[in-house]
Amino acid sequence: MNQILHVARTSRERVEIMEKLADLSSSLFNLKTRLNKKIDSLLSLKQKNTLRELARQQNLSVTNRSNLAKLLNLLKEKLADLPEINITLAIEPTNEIIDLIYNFYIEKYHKEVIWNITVDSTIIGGAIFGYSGEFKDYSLKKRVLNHESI
Amino acid sequence: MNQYILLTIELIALPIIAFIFWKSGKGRQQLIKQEKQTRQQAQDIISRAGQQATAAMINTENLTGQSINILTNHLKDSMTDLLKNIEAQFAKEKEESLQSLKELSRQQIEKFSQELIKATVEAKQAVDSQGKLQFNKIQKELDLYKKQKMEKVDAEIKTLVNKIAAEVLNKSISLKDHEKLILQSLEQAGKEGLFR
Repeated sequence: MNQILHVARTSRERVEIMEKLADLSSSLFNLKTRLNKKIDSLLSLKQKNTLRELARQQNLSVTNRSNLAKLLNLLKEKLADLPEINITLAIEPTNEIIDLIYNFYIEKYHKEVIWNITVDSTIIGGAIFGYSGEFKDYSLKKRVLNHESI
Repeated sequence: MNQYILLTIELIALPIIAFIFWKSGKGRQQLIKQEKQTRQQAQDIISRAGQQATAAMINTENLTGQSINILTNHLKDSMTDLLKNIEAQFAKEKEESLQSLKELSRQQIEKFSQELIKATVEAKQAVDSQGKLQFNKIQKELDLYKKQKMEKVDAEIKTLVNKIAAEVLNKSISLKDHEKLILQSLEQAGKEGLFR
């Protein structure tokens, strides 16, 4: 299950994929719908790969409606269970920056989290974290105010 | 005859006494005192006149109109002397009363003046004390106002500096620098055990 949730690195991505999974789940009841076609139209390549990897791990088939229903539920549960870390950045993060943050955590702690990203340009640079009721400010603004060297 | 003489004397003496009472117009005590003295003097004169009249009557069996004239003149002279004495005494009393009144007035004015000075000093002290309190209150309010204003100015300067610094730095920080700063922040947070 390692990194199969790479599709949901941030809160926004989690909401996005959850909506797609809900859409896919509802289409399972329409027997006229071709599941492969539906998956192709709804999910990105990365998301499809994630779903297939999960199916492989669970010995389930994405073309089988009941198997797919199980997979979707499993995936939704996994996504919902992921802990969230609040992070404030000075700029709107690029995909590279999100990867940088996501991978740093995975490599260091070997577990997945969802990053709830907020942008506040007044912090100038660096980041502010909020996790498990704790708050840490490593922003450039703080360093400037404390007359620390940058 | 003696009765006539005494009656005449009394008729003359009584208006004089009444006149003295009326003229003096002084305080009751002074009037009583004067009345006593005058009455005593009048009685003395009447007594003397009576004695002289009696002596004249005894010495002269044939009392003539001339003798009556002599007696009347003598009485008249005595009355004139008495009047003079009374007037002199009255003038003296008047002068003394005036002096006494002046002294009393002077003392009262002095007392009033001292009381006025005392009251003025007390009032001034009260005003000074009140003024001091008021001054302290205003001073405190002024200090507080100054402090609040300074804090506001400080906050505004801080905000301005932050804004300028943010704008300048935001423009000068490249994407690579941002990535570096974010990575540093992640490492620092990791070192401080935030993600455990």
